[in-house]
Amino acid sequence: MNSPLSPHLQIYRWQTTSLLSILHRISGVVSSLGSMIIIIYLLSIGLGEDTFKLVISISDNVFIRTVLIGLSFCIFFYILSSIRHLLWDYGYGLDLNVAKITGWTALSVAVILTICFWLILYGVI
Amino acid sequence: MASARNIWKLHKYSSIALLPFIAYLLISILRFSRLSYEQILLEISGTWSIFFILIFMILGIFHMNTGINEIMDDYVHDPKVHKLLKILISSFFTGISLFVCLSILMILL
Repeated sequence: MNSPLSPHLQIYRWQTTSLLSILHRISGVVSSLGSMIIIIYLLSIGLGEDTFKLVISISDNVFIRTVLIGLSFCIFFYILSSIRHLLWDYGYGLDLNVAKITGWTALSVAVILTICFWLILYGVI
Repeated sequence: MASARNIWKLHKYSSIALLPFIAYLLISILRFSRLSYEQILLEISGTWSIFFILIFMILGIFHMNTGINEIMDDYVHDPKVHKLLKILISSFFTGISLFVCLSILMILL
């Protein structure tokens, strides 16, 4: 509790690097909460075929599907952003311009991976 | 402060360790989408799958717990709210652990 306070978000001037940093944290929290969904699937497998099929049919709901797409984006972005943070820890990519480029790359690749993931899941590719 | 530094290091190590697990999970989701319930049950009840789920759970919960606590330390400054949130977060992760163990038991039985 004696650690220095982080900038207050409501008075902080938005910058690319800070926005991506906050997005990294948000995606981490969302992925943590999303772990519940994976556990629901796991539990439904244990409960039997009827429950599993019910959970799968609920997943086809537009709202649930949108949540799942958002969750998969958060997972992909969190993975890529974590790699970026790990590289920083080893002293790579700390230059401001490089940090901005890697940040936007992580965001773009996460969008592409999310689209590919769902296209494969639907059997389109 | 030394313990905070160690927790930070462990958080980083756990993120490295989690990368292949998450990749495997995502590939498994894609594979399972093409399998029947019986095939999924057969695959998931294997020794390696159970081992994978348990290690993934331990690493994942450790990583999520340290990460969320770090965010809380940065943004939640009221000691009472901080304590309450810590209890809620601990309960959430305890619940997750219990449900994963319960799921494994049900799959195996």
